[in-house]
Amino acid sequence: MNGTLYALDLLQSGAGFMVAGLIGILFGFFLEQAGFGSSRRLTGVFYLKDMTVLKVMLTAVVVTLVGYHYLVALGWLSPDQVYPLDTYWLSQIIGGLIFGVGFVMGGWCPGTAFVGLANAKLDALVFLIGVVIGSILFNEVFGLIRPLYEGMHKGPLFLYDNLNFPPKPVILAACLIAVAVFIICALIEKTVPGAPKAQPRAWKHHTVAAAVLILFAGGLFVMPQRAPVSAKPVPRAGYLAQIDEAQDHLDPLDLADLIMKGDPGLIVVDVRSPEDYQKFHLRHAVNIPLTDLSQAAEKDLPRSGLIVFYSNGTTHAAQAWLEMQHWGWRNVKVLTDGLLGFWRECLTPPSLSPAGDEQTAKEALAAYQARRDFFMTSEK
Amino acid sequence: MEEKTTTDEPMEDAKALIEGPSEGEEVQTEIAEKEETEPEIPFKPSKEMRLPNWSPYFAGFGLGVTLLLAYWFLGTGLGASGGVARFSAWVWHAVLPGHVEGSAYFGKWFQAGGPHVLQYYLVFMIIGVFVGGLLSALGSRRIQPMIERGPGISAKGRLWFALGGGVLVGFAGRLARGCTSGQGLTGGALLFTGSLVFLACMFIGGYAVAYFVRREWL
Repeated sequence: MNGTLYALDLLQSGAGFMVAGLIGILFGFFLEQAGFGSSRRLTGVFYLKDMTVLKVMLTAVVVTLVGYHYLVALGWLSPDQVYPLDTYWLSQIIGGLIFGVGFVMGGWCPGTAFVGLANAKLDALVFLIGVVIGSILFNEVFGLIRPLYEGMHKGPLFLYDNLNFPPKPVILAACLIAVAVFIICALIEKTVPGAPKAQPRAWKHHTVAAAVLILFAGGLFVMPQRAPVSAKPVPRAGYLAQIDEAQDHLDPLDLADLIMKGDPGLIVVDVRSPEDYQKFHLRHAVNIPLTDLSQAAEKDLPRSGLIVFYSNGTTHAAQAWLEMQHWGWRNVKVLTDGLLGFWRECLTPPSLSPAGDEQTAKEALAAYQARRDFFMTSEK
Repeated sequence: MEEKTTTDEPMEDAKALIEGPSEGEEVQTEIAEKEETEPEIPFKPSKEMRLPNWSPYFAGFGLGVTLLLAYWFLGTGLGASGGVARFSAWVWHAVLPGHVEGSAYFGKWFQAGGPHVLQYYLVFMIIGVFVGGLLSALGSRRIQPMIERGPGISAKGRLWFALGGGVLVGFAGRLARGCTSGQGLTGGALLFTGSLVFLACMFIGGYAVAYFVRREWL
């Protein structure tokens, strides 16, 4: 498959309509089989009477979550072909609260109301008329509430971006939490009269299913990382703020220290051409020309430790930095003022720069000589 | 759209039908215990005929696979309220064409040379949802015309609540850029932060008012 219909811009074509219709049929079928053609069953969750809604939704979530990451790991689906859902704190919090009130009052949500309609529930039809009215109402007041609608826009963030954690442990944790919630649901339903009772020996099947889920979620750890899963979703606002706070730069002297100490978590990347690299490069630096970055990054650059980019000046290194941020690397920095800056700060005698008292001047000179010896001799 | 023609008359029919809220078997027995004087409804399909719902985990698995397919082939996941919004715009445009074309939200769907407002993949998806629900309900013999409600509320009252709840849901679904399916389930399944926040707030909102509308359901 070459790409999703969304990525191919074919959602609004005959093919898009057909696939959407077929998926809709499956969607409606499973909703109905879950019993979501009944508003009393849907609202049962709000009275801890019937936890079906929570069980069905959470099961669907973990199946999709784990399945999606396998599709990505197998190279069958690329995250940049998926429509990213942006975070808008204001509208999603307030919209969610109002939605919940409407849900428990009306007894339906839009999707399930169509299933209710298929079950000939008159209240579903009336609810849908309400949804139409509500949508029109939104259009009418849109000018007024626009700041609310667009406020606190954070771009397509993932939970693991917010938690500042790699995705895989968060996915596994989500699955474990889901299983815990299922157990709690079972306990609640045991104590509530009238709640649907599971089949007598169902717990055996449930245990096996939960084990399989956890196994698959854990299996993600041994799958290759083909594409960064927080790819696009890195909000530009976030890294632009970092640039603003100068967290994106590393001073030449600091870098020289790190290299000379032989810090194992450090990777220095020279993004200039191979010819320039041959002529001179910082000791232990690897050469990844800018054009090769996207492929080499997946293969060679880890997401932990520290990666420092440099070029002659800063332009090319900064481009590499942006690219890496965009693809989800958080551990990248740029050498301040590039090689020229490094030369000026580290490899020119300190006497040329304004010095303090004699003692510090002596230390500075010694440090300079050590740097000079280290960086100006060729690597063995 | 065609279904709307049935709005008026079935109310009375349904009123007669729904004296005993017929739900899953368990609910029914519970109601029967509570209210012994429940009148027998002559043409209600017998309980033996209706198939029970699937295990929620099994149905949830099917739903998850469906969503996964939607991500894989469509690239957008599932959605419902987006389709209803298109339908709403179409209805409103039939009433006030000039106004809608000039409005900031619906207006962008009525640009000259653009596709028809209903030529949108989610419109086809919700038609699919209805068809899929119908197939499933037919296969399991669960179709039963009724106004679903708890014993503590009149049919008319229930319909007013359905309408009011629908208005809130329609409005909030636009505000949050999606409903339970399009925002909550679809985004939540990939752990999009905004979608999870929406889901959490949806449950908070629901639990906050559940007590006050308990007579509608319990």
